[in-house]
This record gives sequence, C-alpha cells and structure tokens, in this order.
Amino acid sequence: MYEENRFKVGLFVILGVTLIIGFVFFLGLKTALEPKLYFHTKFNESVQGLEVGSPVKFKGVTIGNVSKIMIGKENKRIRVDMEINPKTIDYDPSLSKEDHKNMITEEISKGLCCQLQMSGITGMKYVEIDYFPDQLHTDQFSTYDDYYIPPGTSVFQSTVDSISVALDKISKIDFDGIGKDLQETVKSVNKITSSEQIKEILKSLAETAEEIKFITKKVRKFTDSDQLPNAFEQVDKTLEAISELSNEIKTQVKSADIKGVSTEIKATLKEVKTAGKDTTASIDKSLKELDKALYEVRELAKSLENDPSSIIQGSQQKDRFAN
Amino acid sequence: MRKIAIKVGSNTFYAINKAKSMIVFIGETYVALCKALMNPQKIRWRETLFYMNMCGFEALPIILLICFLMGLILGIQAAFILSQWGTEVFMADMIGLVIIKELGPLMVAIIATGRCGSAFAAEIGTMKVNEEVNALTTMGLEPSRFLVIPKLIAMLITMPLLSAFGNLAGIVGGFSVGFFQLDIPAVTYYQRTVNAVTVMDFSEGMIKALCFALLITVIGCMSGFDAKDDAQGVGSSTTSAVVNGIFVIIVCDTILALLFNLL
Repeated sequence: MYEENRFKVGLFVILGVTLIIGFVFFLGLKTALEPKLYFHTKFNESVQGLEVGSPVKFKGVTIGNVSKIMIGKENKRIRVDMEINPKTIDYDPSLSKEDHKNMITEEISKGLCCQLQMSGITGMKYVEIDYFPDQLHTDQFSTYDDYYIPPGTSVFQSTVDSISVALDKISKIDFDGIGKDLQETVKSVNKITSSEQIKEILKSLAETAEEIKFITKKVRKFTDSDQLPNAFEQVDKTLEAISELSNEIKTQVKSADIKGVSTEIKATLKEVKTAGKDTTASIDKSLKELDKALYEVRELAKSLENDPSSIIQGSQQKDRFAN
Repeated sequence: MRKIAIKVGSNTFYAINKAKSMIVFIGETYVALCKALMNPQKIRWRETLFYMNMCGFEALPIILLICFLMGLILGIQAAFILSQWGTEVFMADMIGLVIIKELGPLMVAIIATGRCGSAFAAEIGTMKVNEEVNALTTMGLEPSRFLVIPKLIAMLITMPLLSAFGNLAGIVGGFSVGFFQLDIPAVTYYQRTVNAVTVMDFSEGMIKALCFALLITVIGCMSGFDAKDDAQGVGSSTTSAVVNGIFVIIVCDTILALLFNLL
C-alpha cells in the first residue's frame, strides 16, 4: 500500500534544507557573522523617524546600521549605537585600537560628525556621517571598544531653528504701529489724490497722453509712407557732403603752415597788446580832457542860462562882485 | 423569524462543538506526538516517507508554478502603481516581504490543503467506512498514533521546505517582472530584497508554515474520523476538510500576523 520513493524524498529534503539555509544565510546570518566596528553618538535633538536597523551612511554610501537607541543617563541625550561594516570603510585590522581611536579623533578634529537626515517623504531618518567643519566638537566619550562620533545639527533641526528665529523676529515687529502709520499714509494719499492740483495734473497728463498718441500716429504714418526712403536718401547725401567738406578742411589744414601762422599770430597779438596798452592810455587821457571840456561847457551853459546877455555884454557878475 | 433563530442557534452550537472536538483532537495528537518522539522506533517511518513524497515532492511542481505566478502577478500590479511615482525599485522590497512573510506560506498551505488535507480525510474516511479504524481500536492500536502521527510528521517536515521553495519561486516571479519589464538590474534587485527582508521575516514565514502543517493534518484527519459510514460521507468529509482547512488557515494567518506585528 505505502510505496515510498526514498530517492525523491531525500532529494526534496536536501534541496529544501539547502534552500532554507541559503535564505537564512543571505538574509542575515552572513552579516551577523561578519566582524563589526562599533560607534556611537549622542543626539540633543529628537530622533523621531530613526529606528534600530536604520542605515548609517558616509557621504551617501551605506556603511552600517543603527543597532541600539536609548536615552542616555547624563543630560538625557539620545544615545545611538551603530554597527559599521569594516569592509566598507577600508579598515586596517593590523592597526591597534589605540591607533584607530587616534585616527578617529583626528578626523573628528577635521569636522567629522553624525547628522540625522530624512530618507524620503515617509519621515524615516538615517544617520549620515560626514565632515562638517563649521560644527567642530570637543566632547569625547570613546571607550576602548566603542568609538564616539559627535553629533551635528541636522538640516531639519537647523531649518526648524532658523524658522523659530524668524518667527521670533516677526513677533517683535510692531504691526499695530505699522498699521497706524499705514492708515495715516493712506489718509494723506487720499487727501493728495482728491486735491484740485492733482486732478489738474492728471487732466494734463491725459492730454499729454493723447498728444503722444497723436504724435505716435503721425510718426507711424510717416514711417509707413514712401517719404521715408527719400528722406533717408537726402540725409545720406547731406552726410556725404559733410564728409567731403570735412575732408577738404582736413587737407587744407594739413597743407597750411600752422606753426608759422601761429607764431605770426602770437607776434601780432603781442603788438596788438602793446598797441592796445598805448591806445588805452591815450584814450584815458582824451577822455579826461573831454570830461574837463564837458564840465566847462556845462558851466558855460549854466551861466548863459542865468545871464543870456553876457554872451554880448560879457560877464556882469564879475563886476557886481567887483562892486 | 423563529426558524432563522433556530438555524443560527443550531449552526452556532455545531461550530462550537466542532471547535471543541478539534481542540480535543489537537490535544490527543499532541500527546500521541510526544509519545512517538519519546519512542521514535514506534513511529511508522515508511508511511511517513510515503506522505513526505506525496505531500512534498509530488506537490513541488504545482507549488513552484503557483508561487511563481503569484510573484509575477504581484510584480505586474506593483510595477503599474510604483512606476507612476518613479519608485519601481521598491518592488523588490515589497515582493520580497510579501512573499516571504505572507503569500509564500499561505499559498503553499492552500495548495497543501487541497492536495493533502483532502487526501487524509478521504483515506481515513474510507478506512472508517471499511471499519478498519474500529479494527485498529479492537486490536489495541491507538488510531491517532497509528494514522495521524506519520501524516503530521511528514507535513511538519515538508511544509517549511515547500514554503522555502514557494518563497524562491515567488521572488523569481517578481524578479522576472522587475528585470524584463522595468529594467531593474539583477544585482540591484537582489540587494534590495536582501536589505528589505530579514531573518526574522523568513522565520515568521517558517513558523506560519509549521502552524499550517499542524492545522491541515488535524483538520484533514479529523474530517476523516468524523465521516459518516457511507460513500457520501467520505465525499462530504473530504469537502469539509478542504473548506474548513482553508478557512482555519486564513484565520490562523490573521492571528499570527497580528501577533508578529505586536512582537
């Protein structure tokens, strides 16, 4: 009744067991058997979204995962333990632990620190290890088996900080005062706009706009008409004539003995200057004499006005005074 | 209205009795298994190998095919949705987790119920009709140890193995969609699957497979023992073995999924 096929059953069991072992090995046992480096950090900020098993990356390359998250005893910071695969970081097993510790301390002094990063839109986070020289740390918590990498402020946290700073600044703004000022400004603007002067300005502006429109139309008409090419031709001709004239002037200027002429002009000017000086002196003298003569004529006119007969009889006054 | 109330009441009473007798049967089987494990020489190994062959090796092709197609279908559906968001690469994560944690063991259990549970019910039902079960009792042989233990051991060994094969076939099905349709490189698909699925997920699937093996055997054998002493009774016991088996397996899967989520 029961006819078992031992070969088939044996093959089935061997293959099945191999498959189960393969699954177990590739899904976890392989990594569980590999040697690991242990690092930890202590975050001040919230680690919401970070879980045991979350990736640890260095410049985007996954180098390990988070193995433990706990609240630290001292100052209640969040301690995050990380398991790093030595194969991914070019680990030199020949170096002693002390050397490794010194090496890590040196890297920390260059700005190496851990930062929480969002791993997508789901809110999940991972630990990014990278150099952030502006976030240098001096705190040291490394033990013999466990290296400490200081935390850096995450992009999210720094964004939140800057937003809170901005909000703080906004809250300090006197919106009531600004509102009152604005109201006053609006009132004064209303006053200005409702004034007769502004109305006139607006009216004249409208008129000017109309004129501009009219001119634009004319210009457009002119540009569209056949006169424009002729005008351009005339302008071209005039320009040609001007250029010819300028050429002629140039040639004449070149041919003329400018140096000789200029010295002659200078000498002439000197002569003119000295002559001018003499002339000025003689003119001054003549003017003075003329002034004197005019004075005398005026005196004569006055005496004639007082005693017109004196022109025939001679001056009576002298006699009177004489009497 | 009265008739409906009577119907509901009698059905509830039947279900409670069935559940009670099932718990009793599980207890008897557990005791018999403990006795058998303490005295391994008393286990009928020849019959055990026969059932391993029948439920394991012979079921392998259909399980591979069904699980491969399940992975393929999942892959096609996931590709359609995920490609809208440019996240096709996450198909590997999804298929790996779904197949290994849920669908692999579940599909294998459903196929095993159809193949083995029905066979167990029919075999024991026929033996009952032929009064072979009574004869065993008369001869002082414990029917549960004599008939159930070889089947149970065979199922407990073969179900995890079949689930492992089913898992592999399902992942290959999903991979074929990812590789040929979405142009995901084989290495990337492998890396994503390995990163997404953990040993715990795989263990969860294996534990489920063991639970399903126990349930399929118990329900199949119990339906056989409960069969009426005629040909129709054997037929109805076979049907009830399959129907009840699938129902109980899905209920058990739900409970286990909730339990594993809590853990």
